[in-house]
Amino acid sequence: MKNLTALFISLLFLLSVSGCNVQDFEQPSIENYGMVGVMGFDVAEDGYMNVTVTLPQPEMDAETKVQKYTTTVKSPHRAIMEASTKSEKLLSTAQLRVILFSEEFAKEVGVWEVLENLYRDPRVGTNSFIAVVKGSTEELLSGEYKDKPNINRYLNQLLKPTTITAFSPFTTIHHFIRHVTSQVSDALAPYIEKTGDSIQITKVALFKGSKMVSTIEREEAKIIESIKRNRKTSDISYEIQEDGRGSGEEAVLVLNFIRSKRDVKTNGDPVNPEIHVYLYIAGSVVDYTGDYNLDVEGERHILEDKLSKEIEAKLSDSIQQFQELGIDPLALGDYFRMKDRGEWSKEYWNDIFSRAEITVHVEPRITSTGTIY
Amino acid sequence: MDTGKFKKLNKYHVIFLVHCSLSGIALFSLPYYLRHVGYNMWMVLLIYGVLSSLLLKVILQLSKQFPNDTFYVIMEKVVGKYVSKLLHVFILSYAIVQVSNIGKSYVRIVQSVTLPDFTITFPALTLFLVMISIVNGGIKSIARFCILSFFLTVWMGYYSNWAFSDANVHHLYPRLHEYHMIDWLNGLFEGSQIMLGFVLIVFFYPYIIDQKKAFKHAAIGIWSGIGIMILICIASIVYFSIWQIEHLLYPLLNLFQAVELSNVERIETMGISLYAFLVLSKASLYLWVAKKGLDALFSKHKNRTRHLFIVNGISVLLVLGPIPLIYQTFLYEKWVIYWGYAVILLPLFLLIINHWKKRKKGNDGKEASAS
Amino acid sequence: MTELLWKWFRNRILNTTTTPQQNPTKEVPNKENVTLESIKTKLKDIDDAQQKELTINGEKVVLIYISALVQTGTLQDLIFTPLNQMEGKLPPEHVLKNSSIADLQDLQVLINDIMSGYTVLYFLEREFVLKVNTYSVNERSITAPESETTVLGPQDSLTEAINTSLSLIKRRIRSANLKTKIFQMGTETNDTVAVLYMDHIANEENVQRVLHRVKNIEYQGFVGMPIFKQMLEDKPFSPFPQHGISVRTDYTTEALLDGRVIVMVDGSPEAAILPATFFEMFTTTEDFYNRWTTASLLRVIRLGGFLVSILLTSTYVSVLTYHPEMLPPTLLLMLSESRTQVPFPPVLEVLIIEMVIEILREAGARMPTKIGQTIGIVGGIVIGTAAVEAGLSSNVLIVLVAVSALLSFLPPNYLMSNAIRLVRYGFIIAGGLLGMYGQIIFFAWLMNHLSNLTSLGSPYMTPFIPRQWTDLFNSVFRAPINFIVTRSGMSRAKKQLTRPLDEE
Repeated sequence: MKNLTALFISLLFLLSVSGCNVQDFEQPSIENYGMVGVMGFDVAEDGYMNVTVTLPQPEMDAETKVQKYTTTVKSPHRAIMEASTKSEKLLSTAQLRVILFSEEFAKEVGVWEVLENLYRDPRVGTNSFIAVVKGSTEELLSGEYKDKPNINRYLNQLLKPTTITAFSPFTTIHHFIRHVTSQVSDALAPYIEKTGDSIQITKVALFKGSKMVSTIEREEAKIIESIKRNRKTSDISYEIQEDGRGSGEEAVLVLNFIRSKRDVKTNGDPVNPEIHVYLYIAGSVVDYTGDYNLDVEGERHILEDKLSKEIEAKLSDSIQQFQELGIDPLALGDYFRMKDRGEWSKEYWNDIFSRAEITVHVEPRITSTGTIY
Repeated sequence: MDTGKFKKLNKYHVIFLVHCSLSGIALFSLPYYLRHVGYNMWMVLLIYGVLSSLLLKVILQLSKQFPNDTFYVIMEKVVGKYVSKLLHVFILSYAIVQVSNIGKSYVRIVQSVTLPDFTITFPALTLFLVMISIVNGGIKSIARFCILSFFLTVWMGYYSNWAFSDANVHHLYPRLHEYHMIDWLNGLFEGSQIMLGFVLIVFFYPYIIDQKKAFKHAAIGIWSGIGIMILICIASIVYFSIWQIEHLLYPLLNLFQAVELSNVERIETMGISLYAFLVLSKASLYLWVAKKGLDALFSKHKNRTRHLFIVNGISVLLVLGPIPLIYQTFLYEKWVIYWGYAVILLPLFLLIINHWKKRKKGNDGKEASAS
Repeated sequence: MTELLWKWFRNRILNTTTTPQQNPTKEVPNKENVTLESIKTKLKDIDDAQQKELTINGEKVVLIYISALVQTGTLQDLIFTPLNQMEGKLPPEHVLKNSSIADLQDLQVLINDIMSGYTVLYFLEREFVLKVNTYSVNERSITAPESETTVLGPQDSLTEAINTSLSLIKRRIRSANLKTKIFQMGTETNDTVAVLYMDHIANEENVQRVLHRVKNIEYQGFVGMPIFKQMLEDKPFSPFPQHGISVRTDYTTEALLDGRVIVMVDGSPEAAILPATFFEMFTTTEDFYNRWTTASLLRVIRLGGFLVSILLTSTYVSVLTYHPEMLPPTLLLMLSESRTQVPFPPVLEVLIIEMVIEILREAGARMPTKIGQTIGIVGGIVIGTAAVEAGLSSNVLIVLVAVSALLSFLPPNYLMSNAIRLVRYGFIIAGGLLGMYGQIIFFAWLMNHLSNLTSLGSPYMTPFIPRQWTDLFNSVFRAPINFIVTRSGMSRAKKQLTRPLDEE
């Protein structure tokens, strides 16, 4: 009996002791937290950075729908701490969804350090999106978007994968880190800019290591995304030179419901590397302004051939650009690595890639011409 | 009803007891432990499977010779009263350290991911309280809890879908030439804590109803455990780059984070919490072994509930007590593995000694009859 | 743990209470002889004990009965009319065919009989006592089961009078295999307890266990069946009911046919069903009146409702307090908007609203039906809306609490639905203390507790802890009726098949 009372007392004691540790400050709950939705990084002087954070405003009567704080600090979590002292709320990174870097920041400072620190924090989801911003992020975040009052949600929705923006690489923290640290590929990130009253994904930023080096246009990016893996891509539109037919002018062809399939063959020889990229694209016509008769099989084939030439030319151009920059956003290294038996490293591959003779072959198929011929 | 010494574990109990004795909390860091062999880690798991099946076969040879005795009694019968006391203490303390090890590493994860504002005291205490209530019901209660925890957690495997949908299958292509023997040994060593648990079968062997098929059922348990581990490893292989595998402490956490559902985000909070079931089932099995050890030492194998409180108290102290961090890391990261190896090898030694004794006895008998 | 608690409690009680020097119940063996005087002393101060002096065949007779238990009409029919019509010198014991001769050695039995409604004729000259069972009281008529209504199926229910209840069952099972054991229980009340089972179906061990337990219960008396049932349970500390309880005749009959043992107490309409499983607390006989598809759907809803009901509001607490990262953006904004006005932390907020609902339920249950309805409306609409507008609670929470309160009433077993609500508070507090981890730890404890519970020695969680694979056909999924050919594994019946499966 005495044992029992002793046990109970000790248990109660332990519970109350552990309870005390917790109750020093009242456990905050959802309304006390300020959930940072977007973080934007700009370059400041002396290795500092300007960090802008925005969080949704739960107060109904407030004038703006978001709260915004800008601080000049050396590391991302410092920014949260600094901003917390200004805010009435306890800022938390638990709902961080979008991380923006200004073009200058991405090019000069590099994004690795920031992302590594955010990746370390278990509160930050690895599904947060990354994008590069033309100009400064602060400007973009303080811009007025009258029909989209909540910029947190707006940016999040914009960067979420949808078919219409399928050219964008939808880079998340996880993807970015995976590509930067991968031994066979380099990272891409969407490039956004403010156009009038809205924000638009205009290009795709190319990274070498963790620094941005260049951009590519949307149409190129679409083809590159379809080479990276088999998947549905957005509509593609090409201008086709219709020589020997009608007016001989340029006609526009827009394909819808694109499905792509790629195949890569390499010779695995590090001295004379050769890579062949095959790409099959199938889609249905939605817009066509030219004079070919789409219901005649022969004419359709001619059109397909012309389209193939167009795409091949563009793809070759971009690959040449990649080779000059010494980066491989197509992740072709995977195929080469399978045949290679040497000590593999990223430099090794980048060297091979820039020397490689790369041939491309694109086969578009018009599977349907819609409900009319 | 189900307490007391009689044969009470049916085949499902055996399968799931063995299954749950394997992975436990180590599953969270499994790819990290096997990082030394990079993308080839799934092969290490196959090696584990083969090795442990072989060991199991041998270990069960010993148990078959003493079908009604738990390992503590076997020790007494084989090596005598005084040496066996030493061995009892050895195993008992191993089991206690394992309980604290499992409990501590789990509570650490819980604390750092889901309850950053807490110290580990309160979560750890609740964990150990529930453990008492499980072990209090005896081995069958633990077995039932194992079955339950398997079914309550196995559906989370579905979430690996998201990792696979974003997979780079080229990572699976074996590149054996990049890794040396030493890497493989390192991987085998660090990862082995996920496999050491199956040896506990020698402790609950006397309670198994169908002892003839015990090997078959235990092997099913081992290989289903291996299967789940391979699933996790393959998901990590295709989802992570080499750098990530080498640097991520809890890759399972990041795999959970890949999941995107429309109604709830960041499923890993739930995943980690639900993991308490697997942790509890493995830890309570070790706690039961420790309690049996105390029974063997102080009450001649009689069941005493207070022994349960004592071993539980010690392991709580090991978790929360003021032990310098340097000893802790030493204890939990190095010793416990060597210790585990020793515990696994102990049945083999006993088997050899027993064999030798029998032979001697046989010879004596022959000599006696001859003279 | 619980044994220690019990030991401590018992010692405590034994030390503090004063027991009379002689235990009155132990005195019974000393038999007293029956005399008129001794009867009169025993019946002293019982003002409704009637004593009438008559002369039968010139013999002086004292007639003794309790007027509250015997109606005059019955007395007339059974005693006076036969005596009046008596012709010749036939002794009265031959005329009163219903009578039996009392044992003059045992006063206690005679007094018990008088107190159970017997009429005693004391023949003064012959020192001879006749007793006639004239027990006749007004009984409640057989009505529809109010607490366990179904749309289809029999609409009668067991009543307080054990004979009526027995007859209700015996009209359904007209078989000599239906055994009825009757005991006089309760040291003060001398109540009638009946144990029913199908001799050739019910498991012998189960029957013996029930009989053994029933015989070993010593208590002053049972006000209602639920008390008696608790004394038959394996683990009285558990919040969960471990035996079935029902007033439905079809449910009881079905249980008997499945090989269960039924226990009934006079004075309480419910029948206890032993053993029963956790799952059976979520089933009704209507599951078999419905088509198998509908029945399966309803069972999924009931069992899923159990899980949702215990976890819903506690998840609200833990997510809002510890895991705001789990909320999708739109939900986050909505919740934090409605929470800004609430001055309490989520755990208090939930506890308050849950308490309000509980109070409403309790108030409604204690009120007469008409006022109860008003309370429901006032509580549901007025308090709910007002609480949100006053900023005492977020509007999302009102919805969640209402849903989980509704879900807790899904199980047909009233005791189970009470247990669910109680367990829910445990989850809310665990969620408030340790977030989702706390919830899961509590859930783990609960699961361990449930899987260690037994009902009459069989696992309570059958068929989740399988006894036989055919149980799966009558579990969450209720198979078409032609698949249900075996009795449940829980009852360990002697005869497994309910119908022959041979080809004709």
